[in-house]
Amino acid sequence: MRSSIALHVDDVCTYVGKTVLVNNATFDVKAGEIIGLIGPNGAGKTTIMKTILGLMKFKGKIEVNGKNVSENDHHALTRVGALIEHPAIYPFLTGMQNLTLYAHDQKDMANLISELQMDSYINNKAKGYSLGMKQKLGIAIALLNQPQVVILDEPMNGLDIESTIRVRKLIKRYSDQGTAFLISSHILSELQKVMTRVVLISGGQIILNKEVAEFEKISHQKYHLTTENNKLAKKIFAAYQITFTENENYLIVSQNDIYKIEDLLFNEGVHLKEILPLEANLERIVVDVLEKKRG
Amino acid sequence: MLISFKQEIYKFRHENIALYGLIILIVTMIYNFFTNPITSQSLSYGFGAIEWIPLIVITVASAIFSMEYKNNTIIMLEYKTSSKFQIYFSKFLVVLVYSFLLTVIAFLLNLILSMFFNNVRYDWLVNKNGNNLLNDLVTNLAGALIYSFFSIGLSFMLIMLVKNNAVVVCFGIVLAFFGASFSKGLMQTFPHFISTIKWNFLNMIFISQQLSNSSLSLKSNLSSLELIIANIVYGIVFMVLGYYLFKHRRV
Repeated sequence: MRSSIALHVDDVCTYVGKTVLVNNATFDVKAGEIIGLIGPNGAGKTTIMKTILGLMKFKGKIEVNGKNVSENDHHALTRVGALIEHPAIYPFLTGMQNLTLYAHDQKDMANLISELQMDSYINNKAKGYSLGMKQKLGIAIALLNQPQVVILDEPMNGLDIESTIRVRKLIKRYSDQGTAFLISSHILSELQKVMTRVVLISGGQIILNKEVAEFEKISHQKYHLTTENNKLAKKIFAAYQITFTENENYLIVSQNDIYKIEDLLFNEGVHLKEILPLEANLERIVVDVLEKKRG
Repeated sequence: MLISFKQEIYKFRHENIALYGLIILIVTMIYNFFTNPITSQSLSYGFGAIEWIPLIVITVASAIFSMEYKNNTIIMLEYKTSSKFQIYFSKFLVVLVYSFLLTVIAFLLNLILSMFFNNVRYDWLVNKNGNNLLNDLVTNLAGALIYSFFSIGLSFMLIMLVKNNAVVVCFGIVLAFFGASFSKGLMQTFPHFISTIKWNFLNMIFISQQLSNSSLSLKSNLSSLELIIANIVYGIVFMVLGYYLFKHRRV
């Protein structure tokens, strides 16, 4: 079982001076798994990624395919691809030259160019590229040489719909071949389409680490209801200390309270017009989890 | 290490700054040739090449590092390379090779200009003050090359320290044009401390002229051998300090 773990992060704390940026982060990424690393701005997503790449001082243990990564020894990272913050591209080189700089296999390079539809501009100097073109080139560089682990920080930035679909397909194909992915993105709906597991980080701490299916169950624990008189319903909830949130014309309540709510509203003569379980929506779940954490 | 060096060479070949540096050297030499009287001294100084080479090297050395941070490629470079020393040392080597090439080109251009475009014929092998002209030129260019080694170390250290290319280039200009007079001024102001002050890094610039003209040792207060050793030691110290700063610089 241990051998299928491509990336092992164990009790990692990242420091800058005496400031702790990431605290006791622990998670594994198995071969072929796609982990979505999500959290609010400044939560520590990029810091974790940089730490895994041995770019920051840390305590704890990071292993890539069983080999230790340290700040001063990057031998374990030979088969790791990454795109962190902005695409790492030399503007004075053409896209092809940028790829050639790192590519071991010309066929692999040609496939990536074709799959990401970069043929028409790959021989132009990269300084003339749009944000989306640079992003695709950055992704291609990260995927060169059949990497075992790929770390992508906001990979969909600046991509149009067609390119987003192509990148998503490419990620899935590589994952099917056994490449492990750690991806952060603010476009959670897009991330939801590819990831197999979610790691939620806030304030430098991992607060949730679940399989996507398990994670989505959380959302079904919430119901959205509409009554004849929402104003009165809110008063009743407040009187009986029932937690709820309000959203336009409906109220969101927990599954645990649903029977009690039905009784109370019936007793008070408030007609319940509609009651529906909430659909799985990553953004809403993340907001809920973070709100719970903040108390 | 070899892979890192090859990658650096590949990038450097495509960077405009390497070409601009070469063009600046050629243009300034030609300008000096046509606008100033041709003397045996100007010939042995390579029509200003001994001053321009270190300045070009400082500019190129700071640019070769700052562009990696500017383009975010330093992240890729650092995690893809097994140690930071490889990155640092391969860049150092590339600029050193570049300064050697500039020196060779300056030498050849100097010969071409003086042989084919000058009405006054100089005999390169005639003895003058115990040295012949060819020997003076080669010695001065060798001095410029040693000073380039010092300049690369200084430039790498400065770019890690101030993180601003323009500041490093300005510092290089001040060093190239005023370094010697600052150093002389210091020694004249504090004559009792000459034995210490003569080792200051501003004084190192004398190497590009003193090796062929030993009378300059009266100004530098250092023998030619002391100058060579001090330049190399300074170059190594700056290189090590620069590496220390690079190693601890966050990306």
